[in-house]
Amino acid sequence: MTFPATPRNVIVVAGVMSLLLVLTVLVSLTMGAVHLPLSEVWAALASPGTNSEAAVIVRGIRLPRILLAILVGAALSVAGTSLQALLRNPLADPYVLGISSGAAVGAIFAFWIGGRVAAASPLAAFVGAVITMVWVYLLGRHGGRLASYTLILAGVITASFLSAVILFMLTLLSTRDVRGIAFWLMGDLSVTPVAELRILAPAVILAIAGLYVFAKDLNVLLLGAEEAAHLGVNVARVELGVYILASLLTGIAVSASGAIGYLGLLVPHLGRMLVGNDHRMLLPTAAIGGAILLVLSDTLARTAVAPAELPVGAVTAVAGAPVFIYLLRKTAG
Amino acid sequence: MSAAQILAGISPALVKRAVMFTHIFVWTQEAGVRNLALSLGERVASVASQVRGYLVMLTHLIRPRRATDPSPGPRRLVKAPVAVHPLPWREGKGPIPIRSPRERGRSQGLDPCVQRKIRDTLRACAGLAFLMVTYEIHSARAGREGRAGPVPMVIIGSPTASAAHPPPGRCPPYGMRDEIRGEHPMAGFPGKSSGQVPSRPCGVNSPGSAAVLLGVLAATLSILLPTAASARTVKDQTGRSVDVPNKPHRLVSLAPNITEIVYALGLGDELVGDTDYCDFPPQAKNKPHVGTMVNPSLERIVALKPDLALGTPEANRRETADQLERLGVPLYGVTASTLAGTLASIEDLGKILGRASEARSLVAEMQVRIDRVEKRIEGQPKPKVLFVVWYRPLITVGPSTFIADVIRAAGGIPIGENLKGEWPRLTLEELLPQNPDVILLPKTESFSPSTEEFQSLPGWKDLRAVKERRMFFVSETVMRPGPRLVDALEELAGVLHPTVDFKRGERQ
Repeated sequence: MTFPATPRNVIVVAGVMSLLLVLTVLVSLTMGAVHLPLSEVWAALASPGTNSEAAVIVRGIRLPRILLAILVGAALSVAGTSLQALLRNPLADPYVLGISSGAAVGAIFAFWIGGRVAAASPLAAFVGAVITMVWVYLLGRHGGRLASYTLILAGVITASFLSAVILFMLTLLSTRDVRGIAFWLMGDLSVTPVAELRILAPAVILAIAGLYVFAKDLNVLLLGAEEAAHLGVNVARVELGVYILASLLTGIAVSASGAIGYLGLLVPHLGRMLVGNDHRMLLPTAAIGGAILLVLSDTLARTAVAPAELPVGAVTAVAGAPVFIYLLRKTAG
Repeated sequence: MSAAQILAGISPALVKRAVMFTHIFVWTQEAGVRNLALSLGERVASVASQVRGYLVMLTHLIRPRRATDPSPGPRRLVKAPVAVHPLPWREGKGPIPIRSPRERGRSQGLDPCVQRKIRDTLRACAGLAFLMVTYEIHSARAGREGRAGPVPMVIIGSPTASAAHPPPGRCPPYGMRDEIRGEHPMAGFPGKSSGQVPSRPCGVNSPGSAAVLLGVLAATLSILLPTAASARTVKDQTGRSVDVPNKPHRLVSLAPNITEIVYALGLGDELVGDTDYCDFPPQAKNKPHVGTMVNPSLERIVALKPDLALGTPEANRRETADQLERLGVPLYGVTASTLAGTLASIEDLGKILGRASEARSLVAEMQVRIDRVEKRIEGQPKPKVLFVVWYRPLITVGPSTFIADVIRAAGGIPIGENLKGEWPRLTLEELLPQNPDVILLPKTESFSPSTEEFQSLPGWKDLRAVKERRMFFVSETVMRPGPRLVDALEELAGVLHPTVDFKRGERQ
């Protein structure tokens, strides 16, 4: 099913997806370790002055977490979508390409030398993501051109190397810090304070908007880098822009919530099934769809074994790994 | 991509765009100053008019294209945009040159007033973003000062947007600046003008959904957290400043040893929640549980309405402490790395919980028992003790843990004095030369291997402790720095010095 990417269609699709997202958020707000009837949830949302337990739970615990899930889901999905287009590889994903690991190394390094500072950790994660991305890009190039399988191999190798680096850094940290970091590495949406959310939200929205500027160039790039250059696309500039913005999104997502895998891989493919290959349509769909999926995954993680919690990264991996295998078989065969 | 290529990519067009963004930035600064001086209602009104400008711009961008359609039948009207945006690789047509929206706008001859609208809409969006930021600052300040912040409002489009459908060739009366200069900032709102304007419902397929999204975002971002009423601020044992109520009477314990201390101080009735692992005294099992120590459910804790939560960095995460603090639940942390430190933390908790005299007598009683053990082991040989925290891989206790201290107090020498960290790994190479006289294994639900399993581990049958069958299971009390730690001390002393009369350990 594909729609032409007219402004009207884009708005319709984005609107319908947003409605779905709002619905998901409402459902997610009513679920958790403490049972709250719908009326209490609504009362907590509608009257911001009250300080009842229900209000604190809904506004202080559930809502920030859901908002973070929306941001991280959108960031990872958009990063994955644009990387898949840029590298012309359906298996590209911040996690598979090692960028998430790079961001994690950056964030842990910042933690290691300076403790958990609100601004330092996303910044270091961004730097880690960019360095890893450039490194994987250089490794994956073959005779001046990007070779799809070489790139994936380079990413996987880099990711496992960086996992070793992470393990090494963890042995140097004290047990107390390791406990927190181990949780964060598995994907944990519960710890980011609201104040950080207020910094991260504009950054994510701006980066996604920035990538949307490249949507048409990405469409043309699907034909191949040379063809795109012949058609008047400044390939070097698009590559640079998309790389930086995708790294930024990955860095933000990882620093806020740890390495949540497979989301950046899964969502673009689901999006293509829904709306087709035109990135003017696909990018907003992926952003909102990723947000919906992560909110759902996190709701599952919060409620499946309540009052204890599952790491949300485990939930997305359980959903994403089979899809990855399916895609691998499909592209190979 | 080489550096030269990157530099080559910075074209004059890019520079021009950067200059444009700078302009927008400067303008939003200006708008921000103006917005700060407005009241909330006025700011909402100005946002509404900005959003309306956005809607008008969208209708105009779509309209001229329809006008250029050669046959304006209703069905073809719907299809017309397809021809404007062909997908070259899908339609099977030849690829078309890609042009930026600006170029396309120019070639199709967008009239100057539409261009003005585009310009103003860009500004409006930037202004909207800035408004959100100033709103955040404002409400955060309000939160700090303890008063309720501005009421977040959701702006659902603007039903009067269609007021601006103009006759072609004339600029419609719109724009946020006109609005603000008008006699009243609410002039654009329904009720004042909806009488003369046919209102259009703002559904999902209207451009207003973008505005709805932004509005919801602005509203949800501004959640203010409640601030707790404080009684006195003290520093806890982990160095955090905590607002502790003068007479706490609803306690949540986040670690089993703290639960034991709370019961020992006679505060069992005040305890309203503990963790899944709190199993002593037995009535602690019947308290509402908040989850595990490492990952408790914040929701459950808040729902128990505690006026003080008690935790320890040995079992809880720093993130949990931070989160509870933000949620207005004070968390008092105790920590102990020695036997004496455990006594001190009991006394400290007694002071905080208003049971100082009970705590003092409890600690004095424990001290008497510690002294008695110390006296009895005087002159006894000191066996080398391996405490097995886990056996595959072998993990033992570091020298700076209270377990090592209890072993020392019980008259043993813990193996691993030279190791770093709290729970270091021990390789066989390091273990063999140290050759422990006694091996201690805590008896817990998750850790109950048989002695045969240990003997089958490579190299273990040559250890002195295994050959002399001095492997003992001790109760897991030794892993809880609470009131029962002296029980564990007496048990360990009895195990290490079987000839002296102490409480006996189970001999395997």
